[in-house]
Amino acid sequence: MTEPSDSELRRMARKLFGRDIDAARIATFRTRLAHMARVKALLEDWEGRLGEREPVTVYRVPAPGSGTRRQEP
Amino acid sequence: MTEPDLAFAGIAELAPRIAAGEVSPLALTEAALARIEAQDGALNAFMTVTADAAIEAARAAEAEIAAGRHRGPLHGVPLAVKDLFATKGVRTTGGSKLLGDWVPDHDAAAVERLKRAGAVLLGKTAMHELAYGTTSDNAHYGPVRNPWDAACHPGGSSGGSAAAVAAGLAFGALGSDTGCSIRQPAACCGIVGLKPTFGRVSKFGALPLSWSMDHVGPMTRGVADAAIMLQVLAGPDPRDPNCVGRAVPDYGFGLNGGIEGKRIALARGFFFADCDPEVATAVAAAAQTLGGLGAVVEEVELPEMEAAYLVGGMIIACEAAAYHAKSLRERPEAFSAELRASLELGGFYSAVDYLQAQRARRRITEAVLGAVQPFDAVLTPTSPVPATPIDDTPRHHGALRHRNTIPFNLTGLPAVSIPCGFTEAGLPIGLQIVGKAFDEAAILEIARAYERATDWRARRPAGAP
Repeated sequence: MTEPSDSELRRMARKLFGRDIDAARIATFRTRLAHMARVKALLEDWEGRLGEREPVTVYRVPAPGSGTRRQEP
Repeated sequence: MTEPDLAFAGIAELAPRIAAGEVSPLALTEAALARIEAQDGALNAFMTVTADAAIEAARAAEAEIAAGRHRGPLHGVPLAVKDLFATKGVRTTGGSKLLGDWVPDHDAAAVERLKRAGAVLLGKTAMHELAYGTTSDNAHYGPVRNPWDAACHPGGSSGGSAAAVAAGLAFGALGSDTGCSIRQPAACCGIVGLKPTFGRVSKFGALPLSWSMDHVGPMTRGVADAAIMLQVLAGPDPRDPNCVGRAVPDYGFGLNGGIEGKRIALARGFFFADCDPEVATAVAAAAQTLGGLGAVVEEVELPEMEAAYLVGGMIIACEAAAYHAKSLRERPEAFSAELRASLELGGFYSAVDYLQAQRARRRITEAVLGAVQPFDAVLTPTSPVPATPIDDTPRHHGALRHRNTIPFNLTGLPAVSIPCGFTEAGLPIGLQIVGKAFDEAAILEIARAYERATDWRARRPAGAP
């Protein structure tokens, strides 16, 4: 598995964020940036394939007593 | 049974002996605490050991059982709890500095259920920081070490739970799994790890990483033990909005039956790409073993797996960024640099991206459910790669360790990892068995049949007495 070069990462960052990011941030984000570029490309590619599908459920009327998963520390 | 034999006994073997008064919960607990004392300096599997509370709980269990009030197969059994489950009066860090001194005033639902069943809780196990990682190499608290080779990681994020169970420090443990975090550490440490169907086990009181991808489940040395723990953990809970009200079947029923005629798919393609050859060989051999037991094994390719891997990771990144947004803004220094980078990047996705991903998730799930429908179960390698040295982990393993498991967090289908062999270097290999929604019983039956036909479970880490 080959890793993207610094110049490829800079190009990816420009495309993803719409601006240049500094070398330190590039180094920090490194593999994550390449992953994010793959995700964005996939989502774009799938735009035409989703038809009338709604997102998986992000809301339903709560049952009485349903609450948060934990109390704040 | 000698003391080491007892330490490595299964819950299913111990339970009737505890009920009959032949094995003392107090003696079991004292022995477990002694093993933790002797071995955990090297393993770093525990964040907090609650010795006094464990002794007290063991004494209470022993008295109740002697009085004829045996609660069930977990009564008097020493277990451990991943440190992301809230425990009343006991520090709960999530493996983070952020929550380094949080002492909850309540128990997580899973902890409540274990306590109600009479289990003895030994303490809280170490983990990857805030469950966002796959090695349990924790920047704040040091790495957890693999009992099979202390130079290697135990997997993650539930690495402490896996290491504790594998080393005979606890008879079972609670884990959580957002992309691989029960199954992959189970595979790395040679134990059983069950991620139930989404909604089967309440997540109330479990520190979230990703609301729609998190699952809670048991980690044990044997399949029957996982069934016993799931029996206690499963069931409705209105405090978790995703927890369902479905009836819970008897997971012990049929567990020791045959698997003749079961249709089992071996998923090729995606799951075997970049797979370590020893892992690929072991998993193919496991499929053959199941065929030899009478199952009808066919090779398939599950659809949209690459998309499932990418979309799953993206949803985790977005939800984790949302959950930790306030803390990241106000206390960035409380996060490791690695985790901070992951969370910051998750925040760069747009709302449109997130919703498109959740639409893609629906399409992927439809495709996977259709492909799985004709089968009782689907087999894959749990992780394409075994554990590697903590200080020398190939960078590309970061993308592989959760690759084969995350599709089933995305779809919510149940999946169990069981030991199916060892590498030449002596590191465990895991077989993942995936089932239909809410049919944990089927995958446990197949897992148990495989376990009975092989002797992987009899092996113990070399360092373990």
